[in-house]
Amino acid sequence: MTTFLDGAVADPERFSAVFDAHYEEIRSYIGRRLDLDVAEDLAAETFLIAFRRRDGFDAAKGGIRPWLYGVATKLIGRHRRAELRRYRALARSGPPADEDSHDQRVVDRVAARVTVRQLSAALAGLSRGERDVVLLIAYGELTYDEVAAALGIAYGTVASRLSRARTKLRDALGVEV
Amino acid sequence: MKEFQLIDEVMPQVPPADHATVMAARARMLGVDRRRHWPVWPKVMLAAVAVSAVVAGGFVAVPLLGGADVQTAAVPEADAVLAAAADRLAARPPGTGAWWRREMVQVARMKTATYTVEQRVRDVLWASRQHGYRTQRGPASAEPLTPADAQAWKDAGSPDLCDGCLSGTTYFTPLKMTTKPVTELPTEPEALKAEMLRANTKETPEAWLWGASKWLLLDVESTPATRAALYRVLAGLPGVRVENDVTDIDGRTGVALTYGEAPTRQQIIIDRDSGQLLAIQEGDGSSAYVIKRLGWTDDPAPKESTFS
Repeated sequence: MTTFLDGAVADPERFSAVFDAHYEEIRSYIGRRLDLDVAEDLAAETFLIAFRRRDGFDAAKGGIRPWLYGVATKLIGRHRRAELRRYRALARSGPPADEDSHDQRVVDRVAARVTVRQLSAALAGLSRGERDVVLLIAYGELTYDEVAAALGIAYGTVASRLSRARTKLRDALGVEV
Repeated sequence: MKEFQLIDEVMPQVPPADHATVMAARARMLGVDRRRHWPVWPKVMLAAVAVSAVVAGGFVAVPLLGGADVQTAAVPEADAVLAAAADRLAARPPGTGAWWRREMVQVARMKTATYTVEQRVRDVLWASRQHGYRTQRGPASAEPLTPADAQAWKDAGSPDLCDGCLSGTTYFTPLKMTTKPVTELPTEPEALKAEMLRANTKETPEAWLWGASKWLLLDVESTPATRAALYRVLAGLPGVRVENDVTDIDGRTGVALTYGEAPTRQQIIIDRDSGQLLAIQEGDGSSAYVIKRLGWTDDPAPKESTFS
């Protein structure tokens, strides 16, 4: 059999395995949508909420990752204006100069002829629901089913939001995304 | 090309979290729970579970309270003690039988203003050689820790020892660590470490390795050689210390791998003679997984999982 680790969700001590396995990716997901200081707080909050509600977790309704991403996305939703402000700032000035090892990235961006500025503006142009779906797929690599489970919406709703988002992004960027 | 890869590639990445931030978030999550939500543990005393020997897959039971001679002789270097224990574990055959069984007791100690309650629940995991697993959780108990605690508890009006407890239903989800059968995990430390890190672009690998290792030791049928390699991987990680003469919550002494600082210090305690896992516990003594039996067995697994 293949590895199954992580442990009991309802068991307080073993829930720490869920934290160990997923904290970084949840933090990263939030941190790509909100400023880092807010993101770190919300990442901790995500696990706090998940931990408190661990008894209500139903494995039959989807895995732990979509569940955590769903909690995180709801928290991000409370900071919708901050997220939009961030995209608008990035659209004006691009990423901060000191941010990670960007040299290679800059080359990649130029090659794709899509810049952080353009993309930030395009993301700001999506509705909140569209952005949630797109970024859960882009950053969290969730499947459509997992997105539906994370957001508590129907599969068909995921598909229709995606369709609208693709159209908007293509119009804004001039390339298929 | 994955969907929306362009967005993932172009939008700025997040710098890695520093260890202190991760540990603070972890402690915040676990700390919130110390006072209230404890598992629903029916008040059935677990007196039957005495300290027993770890039996690996039908092989000779090795006394767990070993190492008495170590205390009288000059105390060897902890690293050497661990290395010798790992050597002995690695030399053990993987074992036979249709099911791998891990029987442990989960212990938690909850402090109130005047007394300490110790809660215990038996937790048995059966993993099939083919596919699937069963868990048996319970029975459980909750008792004041010492006679003095019992008196203080009575003085407090004998409140329910399981106030606000939760059920112990168990779910497992994949850690995405490997697609190989765990019995085929590498037995050489560097290769094992690489395999564990392969699917993970973690920025704080030691925290992740430590966390994953606990479950590799507790919840999967990894071979003795892989488990021995895991000890060596952990012993070589920054922030992990090897300490001799460490006692588990039930008083069994062994050599320990210790990670983190109080209040999030954790210990993996290993029998010095056999190299078998004795316990994984919080360094402050607040909780522990105490291993009773671990290994392949010809005993039949239960038909289905049970929780009581």
